[in-house]
Amino acid sequence: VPNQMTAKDVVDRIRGALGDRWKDSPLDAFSTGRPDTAVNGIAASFTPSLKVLRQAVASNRNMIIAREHVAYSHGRAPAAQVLNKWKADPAFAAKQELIDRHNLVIWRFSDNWDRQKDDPQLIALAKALGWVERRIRGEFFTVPPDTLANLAGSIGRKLHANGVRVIGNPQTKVAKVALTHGLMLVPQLRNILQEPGVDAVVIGEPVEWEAAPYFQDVVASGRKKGMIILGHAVSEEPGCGEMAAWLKKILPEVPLAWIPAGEPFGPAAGRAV
Amino acid sequence: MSQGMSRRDFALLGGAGILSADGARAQTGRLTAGQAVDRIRQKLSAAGVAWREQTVDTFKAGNPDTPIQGIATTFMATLDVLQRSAAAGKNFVITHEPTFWNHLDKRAEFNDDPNYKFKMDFIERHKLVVWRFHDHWHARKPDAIYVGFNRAMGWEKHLAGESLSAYRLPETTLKALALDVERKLKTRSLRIIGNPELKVTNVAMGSHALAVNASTLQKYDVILVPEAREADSAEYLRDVVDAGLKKGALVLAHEEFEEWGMEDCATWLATFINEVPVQWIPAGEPFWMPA
Repeated sequence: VPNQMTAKDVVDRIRGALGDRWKDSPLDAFSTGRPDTAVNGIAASFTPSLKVLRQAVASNRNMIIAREHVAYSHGRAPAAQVLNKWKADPAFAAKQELIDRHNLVIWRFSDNWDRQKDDPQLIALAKALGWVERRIRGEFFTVPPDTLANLAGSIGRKLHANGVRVIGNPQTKVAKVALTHGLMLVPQLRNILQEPGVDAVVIGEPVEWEAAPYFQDVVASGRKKGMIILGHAVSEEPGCGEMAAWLKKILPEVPLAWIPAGEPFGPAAGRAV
Repeated sequence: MSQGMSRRDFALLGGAGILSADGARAQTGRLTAGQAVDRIRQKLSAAGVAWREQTVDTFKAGNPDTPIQGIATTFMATLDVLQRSAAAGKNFVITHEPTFWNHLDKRAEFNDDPNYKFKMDFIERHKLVVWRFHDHWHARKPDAIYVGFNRAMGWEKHLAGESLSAYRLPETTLKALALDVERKLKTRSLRIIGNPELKVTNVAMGSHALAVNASTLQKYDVILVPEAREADSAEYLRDVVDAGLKKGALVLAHEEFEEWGMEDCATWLATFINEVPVQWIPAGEPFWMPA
């Protein structure tokens, strides 16, 4: 097809659509594949996991746009150097073999997607929870008054998540919630807790010697609050659907689909205690 | 008496029996937190563990000259642990992990933080002293944290070879292993990656670091991961499973791995600190999972 777009054309279109908001970032780069590859179709996903890549191949999409790195990297090292480290790893070798065989191109869309106005990752997560109408402002939402245990259970079911964890007394009453996604660091948590009346904070992932014990100490100081930890992938997944919808809008001529990545964790074995 | 022990320490040991409500004598006679740490260092040094120049094992709060009424050992000096220590009359808290929510216990960003102020105020009001015992407790041979975990799991008899963190178990499944870990550690937040029916014999402890997890898993059926960074370790582990490699992982709360070694720490301290009671105060698992 003479007019077929290349992967580089696709990225140029994204940069053009973002205009002044685009800022060069070492994260938002090709992690594998040639930029001059003709694009048959695009798969957008949270992460270019082996499973997502297989689904992309099965639906004839050779360009993958994902929030995470193909080789589990946080990102600033050059892609070739990162991939080289994984050459001998049997799991990554399966991925590399699939990439080579199908001539896949993977481009990461992380920092610049997060520069979008109005935090689409947050809005999409709120939508998935049915909370859009409940937004007060920013990350704050009101929910029908309930216990922390019931709220956490209902969130887990709505997001089909296996790995939701909670800090706090299960019977804590919850009516006002801060909703966030991704890694939660202490300064952000401290700012959220300055908001009066926040009963629960929903996050993607804490560091277990940072934001998690910080929050335990908040609870021990007598403030009746809870933290609901969704899991990193679960917290970012709906936003990646939103990212796919945005890409579709600016790339109408390319077949494009969102491939949900799912979460890494399986169902509990059954609680022994 | 060990060679390194000072005359003062000897005098203190001798006087232990008469320490009581006598205020003046207690002021001058009681073992201080600083002296207790000196004694720990001497004990480790005699066991071949040299004190490191660069270490997180330092006083984090309180005055090292404070006379000790009792010692609490714990995985982490959370506010809850400090409250329970104070209530139990243990004013010297020995913690494996940080007190102020970052590995180096950096304080600069917390000056105006209400959570920090509350904790510091509690420490000062109850005249607590907090000292971290991380690097050198791990440096003990064998690593005391692994020894504690193996005891809690009852896996000493399953140790495979020289390593303290590799096990050869009677054949089981990933699901049955998960249930066994839940039962023995009483954990309520175990997360599973892999096929529950996976056959499992060779198990090893992984790490917070992806590179360690990846290289360890090449040699074992299952790794136990004590706190995974999800964007790297969890993502790698799901690729391992989807690649068809017959492997899996159990992701544990950080505390569930390292709590037990601090119980052993209390027992160890009591062998050479007999002036005051020593008690393990478990930090407890921070997490639970909703139904």
